[in-house]
Amino acid sequence: MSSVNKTRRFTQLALFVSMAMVLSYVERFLPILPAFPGVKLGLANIITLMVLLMYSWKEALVVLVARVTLLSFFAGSGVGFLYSISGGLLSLLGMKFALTYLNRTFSLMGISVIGAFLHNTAQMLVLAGILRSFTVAVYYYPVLILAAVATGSLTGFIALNLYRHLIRLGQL
Amino acid sequence: MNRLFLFLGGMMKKRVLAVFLLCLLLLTSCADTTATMKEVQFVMSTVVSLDLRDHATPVLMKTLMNRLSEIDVLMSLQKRGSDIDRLNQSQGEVVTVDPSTYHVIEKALEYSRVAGGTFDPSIGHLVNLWGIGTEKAKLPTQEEIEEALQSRGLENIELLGNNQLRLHGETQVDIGAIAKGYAADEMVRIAKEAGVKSAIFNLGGNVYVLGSKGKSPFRVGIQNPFSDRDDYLGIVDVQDTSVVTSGNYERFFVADDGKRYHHILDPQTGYPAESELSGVTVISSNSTMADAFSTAIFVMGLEKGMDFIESIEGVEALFVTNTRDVYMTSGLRSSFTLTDNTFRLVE
Amino acid sequence: MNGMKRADVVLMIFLLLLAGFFILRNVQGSQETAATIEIRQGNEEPVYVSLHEDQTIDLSRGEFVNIIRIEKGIVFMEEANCRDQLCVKKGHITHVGDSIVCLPHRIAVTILGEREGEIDVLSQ
Repeated sequence: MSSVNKTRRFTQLALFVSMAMVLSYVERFLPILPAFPGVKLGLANIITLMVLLMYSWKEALVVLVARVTLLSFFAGSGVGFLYSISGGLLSLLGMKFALTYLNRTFSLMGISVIGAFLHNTAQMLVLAGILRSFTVAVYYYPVLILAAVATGSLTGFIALNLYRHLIRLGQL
Repeated sequence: MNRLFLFLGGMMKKRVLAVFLLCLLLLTSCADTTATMKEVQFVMSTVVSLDLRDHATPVLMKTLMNRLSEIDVLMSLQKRGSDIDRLNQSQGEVVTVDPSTYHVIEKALEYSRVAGGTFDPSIGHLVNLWGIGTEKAKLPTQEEIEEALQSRGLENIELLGNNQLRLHGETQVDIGAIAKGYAADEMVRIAKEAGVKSAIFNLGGNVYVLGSKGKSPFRVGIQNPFSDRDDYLGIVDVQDTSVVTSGNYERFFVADDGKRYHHILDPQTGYPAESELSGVTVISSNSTMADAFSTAIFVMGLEKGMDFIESIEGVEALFVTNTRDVYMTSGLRSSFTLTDNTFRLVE
Repeated sequence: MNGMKRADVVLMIFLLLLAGFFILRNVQGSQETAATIEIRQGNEEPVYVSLHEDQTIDLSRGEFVNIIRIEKGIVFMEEANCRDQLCVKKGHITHVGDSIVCLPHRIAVTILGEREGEIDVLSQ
């Protein structure tokens, strides 16, 4: 890789991190279900998915960790960090797996739903850990699953169109 | 020709009848195996609940209840004309008793020796003197207690074989502390003979669970000794075993001096047993033994009681102290769950 | 990579069914008779309080204020000084399985069913 390419890659990743941070931050003000603080649109997932497609899981991991860590410095709580990082990591792992082995089976929407589902499952587990009670966490689980289907489809849909657009532009 | 038809017709009818009867038999026997029945009655001065979870029939239920009344009539200390009453009135004469009474006295003597006299069937005088659990309960004087203690002694109960025995000296027999245990064992014996695989027998808190609840064990709650309601502090998961709990909360009276006197008498002092314990539970497939030993370990106290039970194969125990600490024998750890966290489990 | 594929739809249906399964479980649980509440606070052992007794329970610790009120079998967070106020906004809960969670203060209040149902017989 030439140094030009390296720099280009670095700036692109930095751009992705900042975009993801903005999306994460903005969606805090768009609560879709006020009664359930864990339920978010997960717009930053679009970025994770794009980086995963354009580079590899390593870059996606870097962007993810950078986004979550930086955001928790600027505006966040300890619990929020725990939620985001565990959800993000599990969802990244799942999406990477699905992209590698089930790429022909699922479209980007399916892969995004898998990611959202795993993200929310991790949240449920963290909640169970914090409260030391599975019953309470499992009680909220169906809402988290339904939300994952909805938000996963949405972010998947956006990612899919973005991806097509980039291909058309010759960026990929 | 007509006769032949009649004959054939008769044959047919007989056949039809036979098939019909067979069907009926099959149906009833099928229905029997799953029939459940529960009955609650006041027998043996306590509330008895018999819960047959299969093979239940009204006849079996009646047999069980009758057996309880029978045991009560034979072994009661207070009832006039009971085996125990006749024995205590015999003044040294040889008395023939019912085989079951003989058996229970024999067992009582055996368990008393094993338990070093902490459970004692020869303290009839003392039990009558205190009268705890009856309306004539009162605080005896020191002299009265000493006199009653003089009369006790296992060696004064002489077993002559053939259901005959003789009392020596002033000794009075009381097997009230194990009669309920024996009754529970009898319930199990009779129910098993009738083919019952699963049942719960509750004789005023002396529990016997026969078999299991489908695939899972029965869940037996252990009374919280500090609660004056039905409240449990923990649960044991068990099957085919008796769970007997004794405590100073069961039967007691408040004397004129304002103190509470409970019904578990220490055969050494003649007074209600004083120890750090509030309640004990013994778990064993032999309910007669569990009943005797629950009294014994309550009198022994925590440390001796623990050593005693640990030395006996197949018997487990749980101890609840005045300070809400719960101790148990090693074999119980896997099946006991503490559910009331105002108590503390001591490992 | 075209639009949605069949596997996507299958996956979504599967997840909807999974959610349905958990919802059914919750609904079944909520049909029991509510009897006690379980209060979990941080890493401490849970505390159980009867639902049949009207009372105010103060769970405040240091800076954290949380006051639970039980009234005629209804439970609610009367007061809390957490940032999100979600526990107070949650309002009244009455059914078995319902819970009020104050995540910032790590408190979870859950309604439980009759404890008597747990045992088959009482040894006393």
